[in-house]
Amino acid sequence: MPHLTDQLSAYLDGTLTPEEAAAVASHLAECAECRGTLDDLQAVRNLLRTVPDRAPHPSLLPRTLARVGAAAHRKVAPRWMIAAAGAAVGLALLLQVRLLPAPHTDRAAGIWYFQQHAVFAAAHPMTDVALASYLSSVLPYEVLREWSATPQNP
Amino acid sequence: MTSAHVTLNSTLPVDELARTTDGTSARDRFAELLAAHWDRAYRFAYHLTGNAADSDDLIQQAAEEAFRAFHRFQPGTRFDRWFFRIMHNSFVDRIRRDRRRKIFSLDEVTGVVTSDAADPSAIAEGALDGPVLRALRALPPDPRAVIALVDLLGLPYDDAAEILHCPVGTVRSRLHRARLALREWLRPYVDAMKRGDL
Repeated sequence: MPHLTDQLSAYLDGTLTPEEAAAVASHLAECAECRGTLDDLQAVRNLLRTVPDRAPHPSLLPRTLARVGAAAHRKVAPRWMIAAAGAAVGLALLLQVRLLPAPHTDRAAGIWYFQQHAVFAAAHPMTDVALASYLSSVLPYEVLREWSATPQNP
Repeated sequence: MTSAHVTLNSTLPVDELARTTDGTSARDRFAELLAAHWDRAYRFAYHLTGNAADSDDLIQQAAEEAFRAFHRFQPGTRFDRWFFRIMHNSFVDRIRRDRRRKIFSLDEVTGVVTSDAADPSAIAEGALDGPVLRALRALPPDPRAVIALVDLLGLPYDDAAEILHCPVGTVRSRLHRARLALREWLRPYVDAMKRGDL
């Protein structure tokens, strides 16, 4: 006859159906080992009841509610918005690669790129970093230096 | 009067507070519900983490997450179960993130706990919780959560299953295995308890 396992804990806790409980009781009447295990489990449960209640520090709840209030006032972008922004950046990179003409090294083309950048960045601020990174890789150093922040080009 | 310094309407069941439409803000309703279940929630956090500092962090993080999701809380359902579930999820996420936190197996810690077992008759009254708490902390997170909910907080199996997001049968088997592990680690105390010496 196999010994009882988790039915013993359930029996101890009174969570078995009447039929199940009767079957366990029947087994216990004939199995000293399972009766011993049941006694052990009862003792363990009694030991656990000696664990004192842990009270939180009185200031913890007010501090927590203050944090909740502060967090409620923070504007946290929802996950879908972050995901959409990421997708927009990726799409913008793809479009630049496909639509922009091949890089030019003359000054007029550089100015054109910066104009495009300004227009695009105004319409799509999230992609500004990605576009700037792209432009910095295709523009000649002289154009970048000329258009870096100066009193003439703030 | 709860520790939140908010007065609860004694004629209104606590979990009905979220249903009120008397002009109170969602934050006020959330604060009242949280305060009503605060002490038990803290006990759950404490037994999950095993120490005061981590339990403070855990319950604060859970409160923030719960408030962000408060619009999804269904009035009329049990706020404590809902909040416990969020807190347990936060705890599981923390464990996964924190690679430094070692998750013990039941067998690994047996020696650690039993070596601590002194003569039960020599234990001063009130000091028994020391070895019992150490044994609890040595349990892996899942069995520890079940013990905390069922044996320490007195929740029924189906509530524990709902909080832990697992079948009732899993709660039952985890609980049994955890109790058997505790029996081995706390053998001198178990025997003393059976003799009536404790």
